[in-house]
This record gives sequence, C-alpha cells and structure tokens, in this order.
Amino acid sequence: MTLPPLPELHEKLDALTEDVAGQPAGLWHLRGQASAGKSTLLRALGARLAARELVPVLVAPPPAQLDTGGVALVEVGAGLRHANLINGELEDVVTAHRPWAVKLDKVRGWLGDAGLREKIVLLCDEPGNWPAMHGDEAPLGEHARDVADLLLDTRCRRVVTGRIDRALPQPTVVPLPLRSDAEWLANAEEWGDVLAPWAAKVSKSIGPSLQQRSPLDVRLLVALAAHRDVGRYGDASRRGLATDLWATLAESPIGTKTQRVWAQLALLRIPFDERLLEGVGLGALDSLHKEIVRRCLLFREDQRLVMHEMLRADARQGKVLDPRALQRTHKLFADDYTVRFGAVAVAEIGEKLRLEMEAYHHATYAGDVGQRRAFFADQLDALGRALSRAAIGWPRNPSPRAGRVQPAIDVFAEALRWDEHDDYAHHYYAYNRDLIAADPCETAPHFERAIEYAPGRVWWRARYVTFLITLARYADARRAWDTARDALGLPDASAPSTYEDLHVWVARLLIHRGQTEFAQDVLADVPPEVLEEHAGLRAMYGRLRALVEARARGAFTPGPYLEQPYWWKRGPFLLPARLRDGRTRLEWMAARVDQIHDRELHLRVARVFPRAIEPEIGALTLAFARFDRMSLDVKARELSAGRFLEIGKYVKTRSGSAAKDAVLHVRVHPIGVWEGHDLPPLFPDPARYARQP
Amino acid sequence: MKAWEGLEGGKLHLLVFGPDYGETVMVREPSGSWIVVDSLARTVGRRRWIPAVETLRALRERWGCVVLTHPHQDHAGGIAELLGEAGAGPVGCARPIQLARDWTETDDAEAQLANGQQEDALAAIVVRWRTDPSTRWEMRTGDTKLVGAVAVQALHPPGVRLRQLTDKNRLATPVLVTWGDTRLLLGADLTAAGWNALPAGVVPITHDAYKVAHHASKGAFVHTAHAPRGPKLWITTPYSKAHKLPRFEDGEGVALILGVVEKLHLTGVPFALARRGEWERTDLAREQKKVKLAKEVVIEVTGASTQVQDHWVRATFDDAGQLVELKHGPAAVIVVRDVVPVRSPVRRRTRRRR
Repeated sequence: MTLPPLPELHEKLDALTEDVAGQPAGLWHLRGQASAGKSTLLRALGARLAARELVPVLVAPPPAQLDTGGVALVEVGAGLRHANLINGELEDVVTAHRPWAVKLDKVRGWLGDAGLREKIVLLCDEPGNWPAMHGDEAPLGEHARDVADLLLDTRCRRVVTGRIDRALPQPTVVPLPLRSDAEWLANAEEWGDVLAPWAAKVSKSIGPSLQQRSPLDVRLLVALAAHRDVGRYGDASRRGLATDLWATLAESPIGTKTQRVWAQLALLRIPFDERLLEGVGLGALDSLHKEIVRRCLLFREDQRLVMHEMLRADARQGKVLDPRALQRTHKLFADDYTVRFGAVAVAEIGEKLRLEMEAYHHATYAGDVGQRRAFFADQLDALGRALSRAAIGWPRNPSPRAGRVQPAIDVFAEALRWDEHDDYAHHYYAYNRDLIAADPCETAPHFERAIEYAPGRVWWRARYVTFLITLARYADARRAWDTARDALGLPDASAPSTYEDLHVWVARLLIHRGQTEFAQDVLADVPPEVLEEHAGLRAMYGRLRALVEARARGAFTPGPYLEQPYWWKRGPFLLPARLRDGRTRLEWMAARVDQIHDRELHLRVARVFPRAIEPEIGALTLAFARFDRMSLDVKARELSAGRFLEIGKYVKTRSGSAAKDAVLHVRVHPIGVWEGHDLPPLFPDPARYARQP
Repeated sequence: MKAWEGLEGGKLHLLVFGPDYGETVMVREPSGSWIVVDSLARTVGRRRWIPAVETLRALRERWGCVVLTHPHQDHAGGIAELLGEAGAGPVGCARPIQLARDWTETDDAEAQLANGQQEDALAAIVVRWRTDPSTRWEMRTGDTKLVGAVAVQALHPPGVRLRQLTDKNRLATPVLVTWGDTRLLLGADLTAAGWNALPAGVVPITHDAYKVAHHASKGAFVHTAHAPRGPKLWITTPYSKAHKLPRFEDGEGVALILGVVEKLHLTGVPFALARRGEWERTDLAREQKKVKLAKEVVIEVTGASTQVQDHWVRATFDDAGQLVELKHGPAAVIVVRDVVPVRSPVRRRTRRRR
C-alpha cells in the first residue's frame, strides 16, 4: 500500500523493517488510534520484508463475517504457496468434505515446521476484530478466533495491528501517533487538479490541528471542504466527519449518486480494479465527486483500490441500497471475481482460491451461487443464512412458504455433511425446519446437537426452548430452560444481552400461550437493573400481570384491559362526572361483555369503590333494548364478547330520596386491538404447527 | 373419595369431571386402558389441576385413546399435558380447525388465555400425529377405532363443508363408546344443527348413558336424536360463564331433558368457584337460591362441596348395558322431575340427598 508522504511514517517503516528482519520469532504490535495508518504500515512492511528474502504473509480477512476464519486460513496458505513454501498441500485446506479442526491442524503443521518458520513473517491485520462479538455472525466467530490464536501463538515472526483482547507473549509495541501535515495537503499530485484547491483550503482552515489528524480524517475533510466551510471541524471526530459527509451528499442529486457508489464499493472486501468503479456508476458522477470517491473514500494499494473498513461500516449504516440494488451489486462483483479468478494463472493458486472465495461470497448475497465452489462449511452457513433471510424477507414474514425456506435447509444439511461438528449448521438446520413446522422429531436432535457443541451460545438455548413451547411440550421446555440457566450462569446482571436474546423470546411466547406460571419464572430471573433498561421486558410484565389477574379472578371480574391492567381501579375513563341535566355520578361499575345470547348481553361487572377497597363482583344481564336506552355510544347489536364497558349511576342530588331519580348510563370502550409499542414481536407464527395439515 | 378410587376390572367405567367451567370425560375399558374425551385444566395461583392427568397418574395407568371434541378452552385446556402422559393409541380431532389467520392479541386477557390453550392443544395433537402417524384420527361420522375391548365411534362431523364451519361447537365431535351391549353416548358440545345433520342411519342413537351435549343447553337438545334405554342415565357438566348452563327455567334445557328422563346428573352447579386466587368454598345454598327453577324441577344436593376436584359423576356398567354402580362427587347434584307441587320455591325445592 502506498504510504502517505509523511516523514515520520517512513521513519517508522525503516526502523521496523530492520527490527523484524533481525529478530526471528519476534512479535510486534502496531498500536494507534483508528485510521492512524496501522494497516497501511503493515502492508508497506510486507513489501520491504519481501525484498529481504523473508516471506511476508498478509492475513487480512474481512472482519466479523461468517467466512472470516476460512478466508484467514486460505490467506495463510496462499502466502506460503506464493513463496513456494508449500505445494499441493494448499488443496487440503480447501477440500470441501473436511472438518474445520482438520484444516486448522494442517495450517498449524505448516507454521510449526522449523524449516519454514525461519522465513515466514505473519502480518496480521486487526486480528482482534476477526471474530464477530455480536449479531448473527458471532457463532462462527469461534473459527476466526481459532485462526487468530493459532497465528499469534506460532513461533514465526509476527506483526499484528489493532486492539487485541488476549494477552500477547512479550510484544514489541510500535505506537503510531495520528499525524498529518500541511506539506502533504499541499502536494498537488496527491490530490489532483480538482481537489487540490480544497486540500489547500483545509490546510489553511485547520492547519495547526493537522498534527492530530489521521490521513483518513484529512481525506474526509477535503471531501467536506468541497461542499462547505470546514473551519468548524477543528475538533470533530472521524465518525463525525464521515457522518457529516454522508449527510452533505444526501442534499443533492449528484451527492445521492455518490452515496450509492460509496455504498456499493463498501461491499467489496478486498482491493479491486479501476474497472469496477465504472460498474457501480462512477461514470455518472461529475468530476468533483469522482475525485472524492477516488482520492477521499478510497486508498490505493499497489495498482488497486481499497476502502477503509470504517468507511465501509459507515456506508452499511447509511442503508441507501434496497435489497434489489444490493443483490444486483453483489451479482456484478460475483461475476467480476469469477472472471478474475478464472484469469489468474494456476501457479498463483493461492490468489486464485482467495478470489474464488470472494466470488462465492458475493454470489451468496446475489442469490445466485450456481456452480461455484465453496471450501468451508462456514461458506455454506453464510449461504444458508442468506437464503433463509431471503425467504423470510423484511419486514419478516412470520409464515414463510416451505418451498422458499427449503433451499436454506438443504444448504445447512450439506454443511453438516461437510462438518458434523458445525453447531451453526445444526442450529440453523433445525431453526429453518422449525420455521416451516417440519417434522419436529427430526428437528429436535439438531437443536440439541448445536447446544452440545456450543453450550454457551445463548441463541441456541433460546430457540430450543421456544421450539419446545411451540410444540406445547412444557415439561421438556422447563427442563431445557433450567439447563440453559445453569449453563449460562444466570442470573448475571453483567450480561444484559443474554436477557435480550433468551428471556425476551421465551417469555414472549409463554405469555402469548397464556402459560403464566412459567412466564412469571422467566421474568423473575431478570435482574431489576436489566428490567429497568428494557422497555420490552417491562411491557411483558404488564401483560403478564393482566393475564394472571384474569386467570385468578376467573368469571368473577371484568377481564383486565390489557393496556391498563387493573383498569377499573383507575377509572372511570369515559363516564362524565356530571350529565347535562345536572345529575352527578354517584357510583360506577366496570364491565366486560361475557357473552351475547338471545338478544341479551351477559356482563361481568365490578362495582368499584373509592380508595383501596376491593371491588364487588357480580353478573348482570341486560336486554338489548335496555342497553340501547342506557348507552351513550354504540347499540347492543354492535357489541361483541370481550368489549369493556363503564356503567354509571347518576342522581340529581346525593340525598337519600334521590335514588328514585337515578339513571344508568353506559359508555363503551373502543375496540383497541392491542398494539403495544414496547411489547416484543412474536416471530415466527406461534400456531404454525397447529395449522399443519 | 376420589373419582378413581375403587374401580373394578372387567367393567366399563364412565367418569365425568366438570367443575364450574371445563369438562373431561374418561372411559376405562375393562382391560384397564382409558379413553379420554376432552381434558379440562384449571389454574389458580400456581396450582394446575387436570383431572385426566391426575387420574392416570394416581392409578399408574395409560391412555389408549384421546379425543378432542372441539378446541374450546373448557374442553381443550389440558390436552397438551394429557398427551405428555404415558399412553398410546388414536388421537382424535376433527379437522380442519379454523385458526385465526394471524395471532394478533386482543385487549381481552381472557380471550388470549383461551387462544393460547387452543393453540397448545392443537399443536400437541398435530405433533403427536406427525411423531407417530398411526395415531392420526381425523374424525368423521362413522369412523371407528378399537381400544382394548371397546369400540369408539365418531358421530360427527359428516365431512362436508367443514371449512365453512366457524362455530367450533358446530364442529364438535360426539362419540359412541360400545362394549358388548353397553353403549355410552358422549355428546361433546354439539348443538342442534349438528345433531340434525347426522345421517339417517346414525340417529336415533340407542344408549345406556349419555353425557348430555353442550352442558344441557336448550340449543343442543334434539329429542329425535336419542333412544335412551335401561337406566336412562344422563349426565352433564355446568358452564359457569356468561349466561350459565344448564338453565332451569321453563322451556330451557333442564326442563326439556326432564321430559325425556326422570333425572339429570350434574357434576356441579353453574356457579364460578375461583375467587381471589384461591379455592374457596362458596355458599352453595345461597347460590342455589338464585336459580330460577321451572315447575316440577327439584335439585337434590349430594354433598354440598365446592372443591374443584369434587365435581364428578361416575357410572359403572357390565357388558349387558346394566348400570352396576353410580357414584357422585360431593359437589355433584341431581335434578329431578317432581310431580308434587311445592309452595316455597327456594326452601323446599332444594333438599339434601341421603
């Protein structure tokens, strides 16, 4: 990668090259803030070391993706193969029907070879970011972690960048301060004719603070300067700059097109050719925005272009591409990589395989894998996930057609044929079967196997418990729940995401099914501090209270109004305190229409008293005609069972004789299908098995 | 005494459980296997009472056939738990049951509880069918299954235009249990339209005992459907919600039934039992005063209990259709036709049975 012309960076590179070359088995850790140039320095170091007859092996897989571990293994193999340190053995790593552990051992063997390790320099770019920590990718993070650990623990020379969560064996720390300078900004060749004036403007506006700015910051500032005054960005963060640039682009049609180019290029995970720029619509931009894309959003690495990982993430958050556009773009890239890996000479098998993996990745999201090869079960897992998501759609279809989900199930089944220990494939094979209510006897063992292989995975536990609840196998669900709590060490207030992933889903389904006791136990497990922060859990508490109340009071009381449990204690909500004829409300009853039969309304009523006195419960039958005389709202024939009413008794005075003048009036609560904003959604269709033919 | 205590082998035993709300009918065939028709479940506080499960566990016996006559909460609440108990054999249910297209939860907590139990029951049945396809019994008029020494025959639905039936009672499935000459008719909640739709060869149904359909409602009474013989043992369960069943006024269900048989055995009176989360005894006599009795109708109280587990009636038959033994739970009552005019409707119409 081309280093920015910053003297200090070049000095670091010189010193580091000497140091690494002179110390076999050493470990160097390049540290610095985000976008300080660590990755750039790492790549430049690779080029220098190659000239010193060492074998630099750059391992820079896309972080936190399902195939990160596999890509990292292939990159190690490709680097060694490129230097002819291994021959046909690389095929062992990419042979499909071979478990992950076997492939990992193969690479461990290469790196452990005393003859090879003298020459190898592993250049690991941000290995701390390889394993996904959250989200759907997290389960396969284990594979990425396996590779990271393997590389960091080997006895080759190793240079690593970025944050590392684990302890490193006595690394030599190389700090990289953020530092740009005015000279770089004034370099017309660096910025080209179009951007040079804006670069000069940036230099003038924030010159003194350039020392605190990374090259990426400066590039964003130049892009911003072309649109607005950048004087106010003196102390803006990198993220703030990118956000403002994104927002600025959104203000004009040409800017919007630029956003789309940015978003499409952000899908690429490895350096790419100039010609892809045309494919994503760069040609439709004016010269200013073309240059912003080329010189501000992209870096040049040898003859290729690359987007900084942080800018890729920014574009993903922007969500300017709809699913169809995303699919189209992935198709473009899949086809391009397919052509590229086809054109690479067989001798460069490492590069060929790496490109083939990229082609498979993009084909996965293009929905068109076709005859392309996958090398790892992880890639099949990614494909299965993409197919499953496509079948479910967004917003999620709670009852996707079986025919649409089946391809995902087939892919996970294939992944299991490749690697029986793939807990991800076991789980999602079962999950997608469960989604379409396929034979639960075949589904259950796969949920169980996934838990067996990855007992700490919260999702595996949650989905198994909800599967059992859906089948109405409550005794089994209880056992699975208790086992999950023990295995996950619950309660544990320090892990709020566990409650989000486990308790919310389990409790939600139990509440839907009216399993109040079980739901109470699940929610009681949530620490108060977690509950306080989670509106969904609190909403479930409210609904559960209402169900418990309804069940406990049975036929004696008006059914609780779910949106307002114990509503009769707070009412009346609709009855006026005084009528137009001067009568005042003496007392009132809360009521629920229990049944309508033979032109009579059968009500359950609660005569409500002030203060904390328990209401007096009873039944009341009103003929339609009488109800219609009392109603201030709808007619009796418009009512249905389950409607809630308020019945008020109004008198002229509060004296004893006034009772003779008493009149009754009824107000009817509107139908308000409960759409609690905070109540977590139910997914998938909880009645899917019951609906099966 | 528990309902299941002292059951003799070699006989046909009919147990009908029915507290204020919910119904379970169990038939123990002579070799000891149970046919369970519907399964009520009651939850108060953290206690769950499912008489079918309790009976099987107490006797350490197995079910040999389970039938869900229709998925109303009072019949379906304990089906899922029951299917989790030891047992094997046909699991019957009329299909298709029309489930709501979505599951939007309403404001009404009671409706949500009912829907949840319906979903549980149907899911458990469908899963059972798929786990063991030999258990699948999609009931239609005339289908018969053999369970031990008895035959269990579905009488309804006839299998046409089922998808158009949205009223689940209209879809209900009465069954006829036959052992030798003994015939027990278990009427489910089938209403008159359903009885009248039965094929000509099926009605009138000869029987030695009848679990009266739909809690002895007027709307479920079809005189021409029945050909009672022998002891004319008619048993029903109450329904304490809404307009309460059975009703005792002139022209209502009880009066109509007492035009056919002399006595109606009720597992309990139609008044709610649960209050404030605990089982409480209510003043039965006071509740009975509220009943508007038709002329010539008398309620005989057998034990005056209001404990939920005391609401049952048990009958034992030999294979000739002879009633060998009849027992009532302490909360059961018998409604009789009494030709003696009474002057004080409350005090004299209610009398303790000795």
